[in-house]
Amino acid sequence: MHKTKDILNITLLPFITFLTAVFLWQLADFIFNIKEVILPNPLEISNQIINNFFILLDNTGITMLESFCGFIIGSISAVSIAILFTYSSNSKKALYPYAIALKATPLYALAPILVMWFGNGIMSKIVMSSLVAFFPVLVGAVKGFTSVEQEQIDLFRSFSASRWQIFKKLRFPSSLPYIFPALKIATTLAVVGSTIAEFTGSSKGIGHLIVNSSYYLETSLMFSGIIFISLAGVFFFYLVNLIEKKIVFWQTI
Amino acid sequence: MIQIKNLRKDWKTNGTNLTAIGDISLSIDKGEFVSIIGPSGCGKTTLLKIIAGLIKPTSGEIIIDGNQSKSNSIKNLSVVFQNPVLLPWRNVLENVNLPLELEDKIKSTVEDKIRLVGLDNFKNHYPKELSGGMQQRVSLARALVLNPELLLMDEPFGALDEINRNKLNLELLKIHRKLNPTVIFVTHSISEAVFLSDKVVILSDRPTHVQDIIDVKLPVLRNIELKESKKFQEYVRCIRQKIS
Repeated sequence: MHKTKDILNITLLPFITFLTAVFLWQLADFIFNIKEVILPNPLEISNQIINNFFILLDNTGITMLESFCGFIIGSISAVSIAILFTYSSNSKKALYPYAIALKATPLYALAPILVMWFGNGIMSKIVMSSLVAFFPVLVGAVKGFTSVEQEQIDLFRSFSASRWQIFKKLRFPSSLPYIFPALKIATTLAVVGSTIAEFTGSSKGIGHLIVNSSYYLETSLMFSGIIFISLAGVFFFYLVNLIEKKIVFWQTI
Repeated sequence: MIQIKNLRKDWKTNGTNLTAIGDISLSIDKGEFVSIIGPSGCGKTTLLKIIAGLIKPTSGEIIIDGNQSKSNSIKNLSVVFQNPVLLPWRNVLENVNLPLELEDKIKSTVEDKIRLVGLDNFKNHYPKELSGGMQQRVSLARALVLNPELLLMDEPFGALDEINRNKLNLELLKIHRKLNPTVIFVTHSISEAVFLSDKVVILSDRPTHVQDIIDVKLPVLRNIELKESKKFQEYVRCIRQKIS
């Protein structure tokens, strides 16, 4: 009884919000007679989606491939450098302040340079999205690796554990509750990164489709692209969220 | 036998020397249960960590069975900390198995030790699913799994309520009779010290030295009623007077 009520609240209420918003949108469009070029109504957008479904899917796939590669490369290098920082305090002192500063700068401004360097293809997008995915994961991982308590280290040392054993059996698992939230942030940033790089210069991908349809004033196609890439981004986020729940299971016991 | 000779520990903070342990000399027989008691901040935990090889003394030496120990060279000792220090991603079985894993040994004695601390039915539970007392039992089982000759305990039951504490005290005595390790037990509680020990070492305030050593001549088989006996309460009173 209680559970069915929960499900009702979690899924039904947001769904009602969605339907209401779509209905009001459609109604406003009808009353004020807004031109499709300025703001297409939900029916026009769904028509566009049905007609161009496979084109949209194709381009979303390319952008997501770029985002996924960027996410993986960015996260793996971030975790590796966090390990370096953990074991060499000098390298941490020398580099970490810059890493934190770069985390706060709009790296997206680099997109034109990256396109210039790595070309119009998939490469420049992967580089862009790995760059923006890198910094939050670095900060999360550094925090995670140093979150170990002195008593825990003492315990391992009292059993004559080696540094590698301490890393493998203590530091690494302890860092996961810090790394995963950072990875979730990185998923969304990676998608933004590759889309923006596509805006700058590309021949494929959802960013390309959006820019291209803007030239032809196909606003409803632009909206369809935005909807597709948003859904894909949400899916990516929840995928990592699901993996987190499986791996960092002890947090939710 | 463990001999501690003229142990001294200074902490350097901002260029000034703070003497944590002034001069401690002490000898402990094999299989003896020794409690260390003293005012808070007197360096009890520091002393224990030095014996465990976790920190280096400024000067002095620790001789175990005739061998001078350098830091970390003492094998066959286990530490039970103030907190249970369990790994939350490991269940009871895996937590107790940790020391064996670190030494690449097979898990032959894990189940025995879990039974010994009375957690037979909780083998597959995770730390979060256990009460504070149970967690400390797991920590005790983990310390026992290598069959240590020396067990160092740093206020292990300090965070428990009195009922649990008494229960674990009795079980610790039972375990001590069965496995007969040498135990060095740091505590704040005078009555706990008297109840458990063959010998109570009273430390002074800083700079710390051994103020007195009391031999506790109570029967080997102890039960909770012992705490009400006149003899027991005399020991407690005697130690309290020496501390204050």
